[in-house]
Amino acid sequence: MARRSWQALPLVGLLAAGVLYPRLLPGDYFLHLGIVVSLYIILTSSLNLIMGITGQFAIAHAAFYGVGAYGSILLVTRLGVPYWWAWAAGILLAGIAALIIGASTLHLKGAYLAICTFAFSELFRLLLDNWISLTNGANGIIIRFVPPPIGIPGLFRFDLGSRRSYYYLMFTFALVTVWFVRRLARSDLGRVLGAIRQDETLALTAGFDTRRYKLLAFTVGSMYAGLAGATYAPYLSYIAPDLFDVNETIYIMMIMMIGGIRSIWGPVWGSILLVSLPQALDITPLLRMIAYGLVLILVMIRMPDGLAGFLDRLVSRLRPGGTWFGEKA
Amino acid sequence: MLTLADVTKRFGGILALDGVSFQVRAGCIVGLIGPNGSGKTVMLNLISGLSRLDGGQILFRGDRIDGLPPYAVARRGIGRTFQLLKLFPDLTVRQNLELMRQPRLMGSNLQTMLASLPRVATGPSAEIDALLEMVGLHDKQRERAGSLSYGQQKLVAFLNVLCMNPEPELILLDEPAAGVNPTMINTLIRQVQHFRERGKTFLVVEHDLKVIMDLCDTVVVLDHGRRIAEGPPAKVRQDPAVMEAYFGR
Ligand SMILES: Nc1ncnc2c1ncn2[C@@H]1O[C@H](COP(=O)(O)OP(=O)(O)OP(=O)(O)O)[C@@H](O)[C@H]1O
Ligand SMILES: [Mg+2]
Repeated sequence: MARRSWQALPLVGLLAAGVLYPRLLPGDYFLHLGIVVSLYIILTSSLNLIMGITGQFAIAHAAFYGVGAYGSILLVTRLGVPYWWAWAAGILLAGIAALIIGASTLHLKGAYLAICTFAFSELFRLLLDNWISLTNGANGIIIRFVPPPIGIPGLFRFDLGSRRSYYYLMFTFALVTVWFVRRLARSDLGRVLGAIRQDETLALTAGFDTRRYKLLAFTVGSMYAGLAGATYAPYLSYIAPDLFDVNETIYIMMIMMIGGIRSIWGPVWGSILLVSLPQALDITPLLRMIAYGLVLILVMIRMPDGLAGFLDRLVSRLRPGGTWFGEKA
Repeated sequence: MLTLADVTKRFGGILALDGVSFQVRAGCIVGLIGPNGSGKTVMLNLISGLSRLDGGQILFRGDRIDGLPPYAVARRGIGRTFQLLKLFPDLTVRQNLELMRQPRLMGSNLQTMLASLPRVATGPSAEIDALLEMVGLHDKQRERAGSLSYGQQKLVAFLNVLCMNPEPELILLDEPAAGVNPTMINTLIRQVQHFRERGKTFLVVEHDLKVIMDLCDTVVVLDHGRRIAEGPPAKVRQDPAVMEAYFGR
C-alpha cells in the first residue's frame, strides 16, 4: 500500500503545480500560457498512447483534434445543440472517425501507415477548405458564444466566462489525460499495447488479436484529441482548417519526442518547454519551426529519451535508483 | 493431434511445399528436418496461421485450422517459437512471462474487457517462479529480456510459449538449439522432455542431429518442399534418400 501511494506522488505533484501556478504567476498572460500548455499535454499524451506506447506511426492526430473542434462548434452554430452536448458529440465523432480510419489503415506498418493516415489528414483539411457552405472554408469560423458553466453543484463549478476557470478546466483535462494514459500503460491491456510495439508477429502468434488492440488504442487516443479540440475551440474563439493540418500533427510529434517518447511525463515537460519558450522569446512561427527542428535534432542525438529521460538521469545522480520523471510505459 | 494433408505453398514460381502430408500424434516429439531452404519454416508459418496455404488442409484435433488468423490458432492451443529469435526485449524476463499468462480478453465480451482495464499487471505467480527456477533464470527475472545473452533469450522465448494462455497443447519449435551453447542445449532438451511427460506435444525443426536423436520419437525429412522420409531417427539417418539430400549431388 505504501508503495502504491508513493507511486501517486508525481500526479499529486502535477496537481499541486497546476493549482498553484495561477497564484504564483498571476495575470491573463500566464493563464493563457497555462491553457495552451494544458492543451498540448492532452494532445501529446494521447499521441504518445498511439505512437509511443503502441508504436503506430499514424500521423493524423491533428485531424481528430479538428474533428472534435469543428464537430462540436458546427453542432452549436448550425443546429443549435447546447454546447456541452455538442462537446460530447465532438469527442464521439472523433472516436467514430478514428474507428473507421483505423479499421482501414492499421493493418499497415511503418511508412505505409504514416502515408495513409497523412492522406486522410489532408483529405480532412481539404474537406474543411472546400465545403464552404458548412465550414466557411479557409476563412474559418468565428465563435461568438461562451460555453455555459459546468460543474457538480455544491462541489465545483467552471464558469467559462473567466480565463481563470478556463485554465482550471483545461488543466483538469490535462491531468485526467496523463492519469489515464499512465493507468492504461500499467494495466494488462497496456502491456499488450507495448508488446505490439515490440513485436507484433509474436503478440499475434501468442494469441493476441493485435488489430483490435491497435484499433482500441488508436480510437481512445483520437478521442482525447477530439476532447482537446472541443474544449479549446470556444476559448480560441476562432477555428480554421490550417489549425488542424499535418503540420500541427508534426508539431505534436515534436513535443512528444523532445519531451521523451513513451515516457508518461515527457508530454508534460515537452509541452511546458515548447509552448512557453517561444511565447517568452516572442519569435515568428517560421523561426519557431526552424528552432524546433534544430532542438529536435539535438535531442535525438544527445538525449534519445528526451527531456524526461535527461531529467531522470539528473535525479538518479542525486537520489540513486529514483525514477521520477522518466517513468516509461 | 495435428494432421497435415497434401500441404502446398507457392511463392511466385517457387514451390516451397509440394503436397506434404504427415501426422503429429498427441504426446509425441516429432522432428522436422531437411537441408536449408527445404520448407521447414514455411511449414511452421502455415500451421501457425502466419501465411495461407495454396492447397491441402491442416487439421488440429479434427478441426480445420488453415484459414484461421494466427491469434485464433494460438487460442486453439498451438504455440510456437521463431528461428529468428522473438521476445519482447523492452520487458523484463518476468514481464515477458506475465504478459503471456494474461487472459486473452480482446474478442471476449466488452464487460470483461473493460473490467480488465484498471487491473495493474499481474501479481506474483508460483508457476512463473517455478519455470524460471527450472531453467536457471530466476536471478535474471528483473532484467530487460533484450539484455540477456542469446542463449538465455532463447530460453525465455521457449518459456514464453509455455506460459501462453490458454496453455498450448502443441508446441512448434523452430531451431531451438541454433546459436545456443551446449549447456543450455541440454537444459532445453530436459525441458522439452519434461513437458512431454506432462502431456505436451512438440514439433521440432532442428539442424543439430544430437538434439534430434535425443528428443524425437519420429522424424519427418523435407527436401525441396517434398517429404522424402519419415520414421524413427536412427532409421531415417540410414535412409539413402536422406543421405543424398544432405550430402549428395
Ligand atoms: N515469404 C517468402 N517469399 C518468397 N519465398 C519464400 C518466402 N519464405 C520462404 N521462401 C522460400 O521458400 C523456401 C523454403 O524456405 P524455408 O524458410 O521454409 O526454409 P527452411 O527449411 O526453414 O530453411 P532453413 O534451414 O535455412 O531455415 C526457400 O526457397 C525460401 O526462399
Ligand atoms: Mg527455417
